[in-house]
Amino acid sequence: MAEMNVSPEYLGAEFLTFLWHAGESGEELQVGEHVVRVSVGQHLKLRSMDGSGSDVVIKGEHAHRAPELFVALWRGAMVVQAKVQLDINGTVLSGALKSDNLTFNGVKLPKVEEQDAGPRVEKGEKPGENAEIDRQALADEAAIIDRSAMLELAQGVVDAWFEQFLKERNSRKHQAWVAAVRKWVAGSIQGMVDGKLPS
Amino acid sequence: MTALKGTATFRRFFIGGQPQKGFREKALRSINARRFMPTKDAEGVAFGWVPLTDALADHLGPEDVFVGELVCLGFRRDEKVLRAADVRDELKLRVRELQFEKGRRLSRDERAALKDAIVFELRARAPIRRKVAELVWNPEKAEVRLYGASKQMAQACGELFARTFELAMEESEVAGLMVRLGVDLATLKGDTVPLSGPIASVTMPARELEAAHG
Repeated sequence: MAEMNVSPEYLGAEFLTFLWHAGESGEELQVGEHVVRVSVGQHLKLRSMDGSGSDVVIKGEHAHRAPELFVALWRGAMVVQAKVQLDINGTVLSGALKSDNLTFNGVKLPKVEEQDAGPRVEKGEKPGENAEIDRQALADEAAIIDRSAMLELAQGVVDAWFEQFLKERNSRKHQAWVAAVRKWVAGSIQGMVDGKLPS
Repeated sequence: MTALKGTATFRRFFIGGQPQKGFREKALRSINARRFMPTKDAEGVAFGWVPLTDALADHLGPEDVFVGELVCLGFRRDEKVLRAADVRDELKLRVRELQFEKGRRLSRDERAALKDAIVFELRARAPIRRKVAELVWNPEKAEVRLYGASKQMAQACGELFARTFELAMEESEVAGLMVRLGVDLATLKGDTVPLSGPIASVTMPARELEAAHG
């Protein structure tokens, strides 16, 4: 097999393809004290890295099992955009990843619960006078801090997983993964010919 | 849609360094020096910092900017919207009137001067299009999330950020991420098996595949 130079965009797409496979094979990652599981689906966009052919985009609940995606993989395409669900110690965050920046974006975050903090009362001010404003300001502060913490946690996990992926890329583990993906794709296509949908 | 509620959709930026200790006081002065000032009649665009939760406020206090370890700002950009069709119509009308008064055609220079005057005049009473992007900066992680900003707006915000904090703000991409992760691209070149390529175990013509799935 011919070797090729890798670009950052190529590595991003390869990583997303890796994530998809990791989700399908139930792989876990230990990031610090967090155990992370990933699930890729609902929206997948595959593109041939040599610029040939057109993009393959599949949306829907079972998008990740669409035969068209496996045919595209077989022809050398890789994932350039995907909806991703991260399960971090049981906290599930859904968002999207693009291969060109790997920013976990479009994230659906759980609503921040209102904290039971009393309003601040300034000198010479009657209690309750500015209570509504203070309560709103506190709620805004809590929302910014909580949402930022969740986004940073999710992005930290993606970055850590990407770092690990890159560091293992020259190892035998990576070659084993490439072989596993080939087997997975070949098996899925064989299954399609036999009349079964990819599992 | 925003930093405060809904789906979090944003642009991620890497900041070229961390602020020095005790930067808050200096930063607040610098932010207020570049706070949003309403556009003057002759200007088409005005932009500057506003509190994240109040785009109409004209001053930023520490309680507006510093939330825990985070630096939170609104980036407001006002643009006077002038329709080309309005300028064209007005010009046509005035040219007609002037030509009638003078009894001759207007020269090219006269038309150009007239057009400039019309643009100036119409801009003074043109409606304002206001856009506000929300910036959340974690100085410790040297990262900014910018919510609700187009590419053009993000660029303007990045320039203002650099002037305010003397730190570069660069939109994230894989190459930049790899630098931050300490991975050298050169070590990954050409020494691994690419994922793409034909799969030896499957030798199936495309038409057979199509037939299998209609």
